[in-house]
Amino acid sequence: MSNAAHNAATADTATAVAVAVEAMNKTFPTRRGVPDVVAVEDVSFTVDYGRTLGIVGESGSGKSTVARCLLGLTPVDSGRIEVLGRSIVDAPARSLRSWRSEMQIVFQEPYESLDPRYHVWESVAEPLLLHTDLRGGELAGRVHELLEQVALSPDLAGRYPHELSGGQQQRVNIARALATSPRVLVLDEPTASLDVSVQEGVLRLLLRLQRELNLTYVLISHDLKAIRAVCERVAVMYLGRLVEIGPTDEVLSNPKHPYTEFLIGAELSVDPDVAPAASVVRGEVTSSERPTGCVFTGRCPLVTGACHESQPPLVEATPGHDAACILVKPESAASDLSGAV
Amino acid sequence: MTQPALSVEDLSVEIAGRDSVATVLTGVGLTLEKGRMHGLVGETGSGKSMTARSIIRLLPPGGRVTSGSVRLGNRQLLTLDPKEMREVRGVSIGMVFQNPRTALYPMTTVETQMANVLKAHLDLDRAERSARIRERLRLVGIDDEDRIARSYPHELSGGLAQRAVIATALLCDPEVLIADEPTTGLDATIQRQILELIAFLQSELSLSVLIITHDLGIIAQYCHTVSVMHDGRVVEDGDMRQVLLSPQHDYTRRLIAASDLRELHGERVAGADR
Amino acid sequence: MNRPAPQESRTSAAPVLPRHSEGFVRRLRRKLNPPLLWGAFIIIALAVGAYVVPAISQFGAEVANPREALEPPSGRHPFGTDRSGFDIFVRVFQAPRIDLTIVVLGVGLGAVIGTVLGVVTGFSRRIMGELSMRVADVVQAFPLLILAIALVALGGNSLTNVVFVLAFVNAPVFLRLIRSRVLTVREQRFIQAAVALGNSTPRLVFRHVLPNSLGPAVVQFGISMGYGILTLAGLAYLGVGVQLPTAEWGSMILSGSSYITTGQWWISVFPGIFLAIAVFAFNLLSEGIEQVREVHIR
Repeated sequence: MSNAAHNAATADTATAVAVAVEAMNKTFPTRRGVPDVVAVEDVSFTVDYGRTLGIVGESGSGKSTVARCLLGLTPVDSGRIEVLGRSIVDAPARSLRSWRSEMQIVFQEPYESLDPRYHVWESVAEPLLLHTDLRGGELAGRVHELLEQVALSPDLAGRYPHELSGGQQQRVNIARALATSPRVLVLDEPTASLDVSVQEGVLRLLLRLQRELNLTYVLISHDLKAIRAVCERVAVMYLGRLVEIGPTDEVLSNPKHPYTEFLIGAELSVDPDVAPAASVVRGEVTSSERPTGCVFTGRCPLVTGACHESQPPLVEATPGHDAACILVKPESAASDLSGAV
Repeated sequence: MTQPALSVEDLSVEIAGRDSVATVLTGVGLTLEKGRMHGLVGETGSGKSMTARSIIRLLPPGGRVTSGSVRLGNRQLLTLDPKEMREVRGVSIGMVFQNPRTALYPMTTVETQMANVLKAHLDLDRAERSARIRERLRLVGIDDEDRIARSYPHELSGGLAQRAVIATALLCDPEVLIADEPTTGLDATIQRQILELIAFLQSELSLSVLIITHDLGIIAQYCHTVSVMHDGRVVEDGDMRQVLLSPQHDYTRRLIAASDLRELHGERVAGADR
Repeated sequence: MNRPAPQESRTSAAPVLPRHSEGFVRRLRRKLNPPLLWGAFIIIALAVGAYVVPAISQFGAEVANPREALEPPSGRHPFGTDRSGFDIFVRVFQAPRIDLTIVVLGVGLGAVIGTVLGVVTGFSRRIMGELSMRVADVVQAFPLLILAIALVALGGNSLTNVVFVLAFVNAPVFLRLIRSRVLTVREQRFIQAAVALGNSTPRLVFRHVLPNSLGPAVVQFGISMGYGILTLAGLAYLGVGVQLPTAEWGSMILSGSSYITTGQWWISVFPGIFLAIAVFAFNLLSEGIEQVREVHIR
């Protein structure tokens, strides 16, 4: 692998920030008379170079909108997004296009993401034709190398997407995303539609590629098992807001926000001896009736009068672990939430 | 031993395509005891949904049962005439599918479509129908049953729609409930609510439930017995704890290992220490 | 544990990879199908016959012979003669010279205009899109023949104008089809993926959106061809466009229509059969082309 692309200034420092998002807001207008849908509200986070941040949440949490905004596929209303030190908000279309070689995305639907009229070779070669001068034998060599990297047999190069299995399709998507040696990869539910055995293979592949190519990942998922397996840090989103963020194992074993706790409680272990949490969260996500105070007031069992007044900010509960709940006191006064439920 | 609620024996099914015949089920057998929850688990193409469709005799075009028997109580379903089979599907077996919004008819209210089911199968007057519909809606945990009854499917959230589907399936007091991926596509917290509801109904009404899923977590937390399907065959079945805690078949072991991704998690944690 | 990638591919010599997009010609060779072959065969046969048959026949296609008027089919006149003594056999074979040329040009032009407008209005989705749809509504709401007559009346009675008439009435059909497909395709995930890969808008349109939007229009092309010939006949009946003694199926059918009741059936029937065969052939051809274009027929 050529590391020529790594000559940008940030590569040498181990703790450099690859992706920085600050106060991102995105609202989608709706029909007249219906309030606009707030997809993302005041979301901030950073991802260190070569690391993985997981973003977990249910439908309507805004996690996929974050992914699209990171890529510049959807313009943000306000906020700052810097990837590898360059701002992508308000970047002109042309520079955004050339910038695409640095940052790529893999979508949830492996089949729908591939042009049905392009066979594997064409799909993987396309970004190279767009961003590099590789042609002819060099181009073929690079495509071959990419297929090898994602453990796809070159015999499949002439196949069309519908002739491949779900796992193979997703490998083609990954190979295509890696073609121009990007340094940041956004993975939007990359394994959600795959069978469990295939899912493990794809996640394993992503981990190997990250090690080999020193990639930075933002993994969007609703599946805590996948998040736990892949991400060093995790951010939990609810109704467009980031309610908790921190090291994965810490957040998932010692959640500070009641929503995170419910999300963990809803997880069903394959071990019959590990029972899920006894409490079942009531209600459903309702983006149409957005609460005035904390976004979780509608479903929170610990809700108090103060919760309806304003959205609590993210507060550091333990070092590097923040939660946006009125019950979270900065470190010293931390109350053990699990005891209170 | 009492008679099982539903038993399938040596069921083989093939589907004729344009120029070939594919065998999709080979000698499938399963037993659903009365008042229990049986899980049918497998991946895409394992034949789990085809098994369910064979039980209610709604095979895709070209599908044909080549051998076997399906017994509901003491009735042999495969030899019933179409009219009797319709009664079985409407009355004796309740069905719940994946994606509740498409399972409901979009042009009428929840109440109208529930009433149509009752009209087709039971001889009740208007007031009795209305009372039963509301009673079933409350049974599935819907508090404001009047409002929901008057709603159209698109006005309901995914969780509420699935509750309405379950209420519809329960209208004629079925002996068996077949739930085919009932929570796939729903959010995790809603999935939990629906599963708790099905488990509640199963114990409260002594309902026999056949739940079809790709998710071993659902099996581990909610089922009494399980059949693991792979490639059109049942590779392992029996008591849930026995199957999951000491799997005998290699495929079952692989499925369990892949399901919790624990190995990968371990690798990541180990990698972080380096 | 670090599992190595499968070794099989790594050790093998550089494999033969398909270097280029599988073009239409290559796909054609792979997916030749009966409808395509039959459609092409019939159309080519009609085109060849249009020049060969008149050349070897003892009668001229546009030479009247009143002494042999209204003769039934015989060895001398296989398809009989009409009231002016034209030999129907020769005329039926010569007709494609006019019929096919005008229809291919007219419908082809309409399809190109409709496709371009459909892509532009479907992709930009601005006021222009709405406007073009309303114009298309108006054009399509008019009875086709009246519209055509009005256009020819405005532009003069020439074959060139008949071509434009066909283009004019067909463009909205293709505009609608293409536009609705483009509106669907542009929302699909692979289009979003293509944007994320860095495609410019023109490339996006021509390499991804258009190829995936053409299917229904290709099928429509065959149908429109058939209707085009019928339109031509209708126009000829009204004295617009093709004039006697030019051999043309539509005008031949109509010239014989009043004789059907008196027993001289052959005047209309033979051109009618050829017209039907031509319409059928175009439908076969377009279906065949779509089968070749279609990547994923399961």
